[in-house]
Amino acid sequence: MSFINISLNNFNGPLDLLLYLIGKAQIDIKDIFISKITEQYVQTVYINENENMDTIGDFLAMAARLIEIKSKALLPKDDLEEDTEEEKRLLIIQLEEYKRFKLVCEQLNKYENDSLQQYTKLTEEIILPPQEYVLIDHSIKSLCSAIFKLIERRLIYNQKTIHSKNIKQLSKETITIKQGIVQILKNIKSGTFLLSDIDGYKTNKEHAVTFFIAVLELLKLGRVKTKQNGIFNSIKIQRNEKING
Amino acid sequence: MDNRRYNLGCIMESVLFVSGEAISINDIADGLNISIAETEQVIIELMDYYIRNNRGIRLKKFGNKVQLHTYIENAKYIENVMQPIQKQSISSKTLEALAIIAYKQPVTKNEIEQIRGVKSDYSISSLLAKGLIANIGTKDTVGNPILYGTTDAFLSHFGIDNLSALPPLLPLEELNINNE
Repeated sequence: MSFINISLNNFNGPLDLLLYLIGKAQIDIKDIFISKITEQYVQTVYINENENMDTIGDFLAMAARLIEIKSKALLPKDDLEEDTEEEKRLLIIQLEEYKRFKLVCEQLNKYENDSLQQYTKLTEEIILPPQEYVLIDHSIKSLCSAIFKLIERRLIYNQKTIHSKNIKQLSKETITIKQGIVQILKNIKSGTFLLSDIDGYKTNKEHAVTFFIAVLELLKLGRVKTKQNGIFNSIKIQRNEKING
Repeated sequence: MDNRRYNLGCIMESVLFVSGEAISINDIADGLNISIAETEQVIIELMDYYIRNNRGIRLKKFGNKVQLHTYIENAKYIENVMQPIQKQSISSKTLEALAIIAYKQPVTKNEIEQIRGVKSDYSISSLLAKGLIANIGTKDTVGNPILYGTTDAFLSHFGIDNLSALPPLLPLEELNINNE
């Protein structure tokens, strides 16, 4: 028999192979047990026994199931019969259900092939023109005042940075964290005070950073308590009485 | 009014051209500040226009999205002129698992394997990687297995508008007739 000389790799699973054999024999799915299908199936699996376990595992399980049904049918009629009928019924249902999907897969295959021939393209990379400013609702007066404000701000900025124009200067550290700590501790002797009240905190960026680190350090040491009523509000600093007292 | 429709079709064509990839009808309606119903109407007219005028560009709708694509009969000419990157078709084993998910969703791995009669881990992970199916929840039974369902990419891959446009599963009585 030539049709048993087939590779299991061509089948999607044991049900697929069974349907193939049923189709070959031109019988109804329901007649599977009164045919030679079981023998043909077992033989096909047998000649493929050198396949790896991953491929053949599910096929072997089905072979065992078919042989079990067949062998039970050979036994003299008794309680087993009902059991066997149920197993047969279940396999037939499974085969029929599988076949429905098998048929629909052929349809889907056509759909897929059609769809794969419809080319689409990726999104264009389009650079949009810069946003235009609408100046309709403004008078010349308001434009002038806006420009004066801008010039004024620029002048102040220039005055501040006139010496450091183009040349970046690394200034010597004018205050160390240690000094910052000493100064904070001196300040809190007189009770609660705001971090922003420290000399130089508002005017000098370096001082601000140093004092802030000093506060963090004191917090870590448990020497002070801090309080801030909401984001961006001033930070209140207070002596931590529990430890110092 | 007709003029307005014509203009909207014209605008939408440009939008779809630039978009290239599938774009949701809601996004178009929002962007053009028109109702979804009107957007859908214009889309249908545009689809129809391409067909009636035998254009090389066509419009497809799947799920809630629309996308321009080339006319199917022109594929061979496109391939002659240039070498476009073709999307890969799905293997028959994986397609089997996908078909079961499409019709039975939401469905667990175990239920898929029950119908196919084989382990389906590889098929499922490959479908997940392709984005054709997605994890859409867990089943309320022992072990809470993952439930799978199809995605918009699935509809697009098969060129269907929505799940009800899937080819019908044959009723059991007709199975053996079909066998001949």
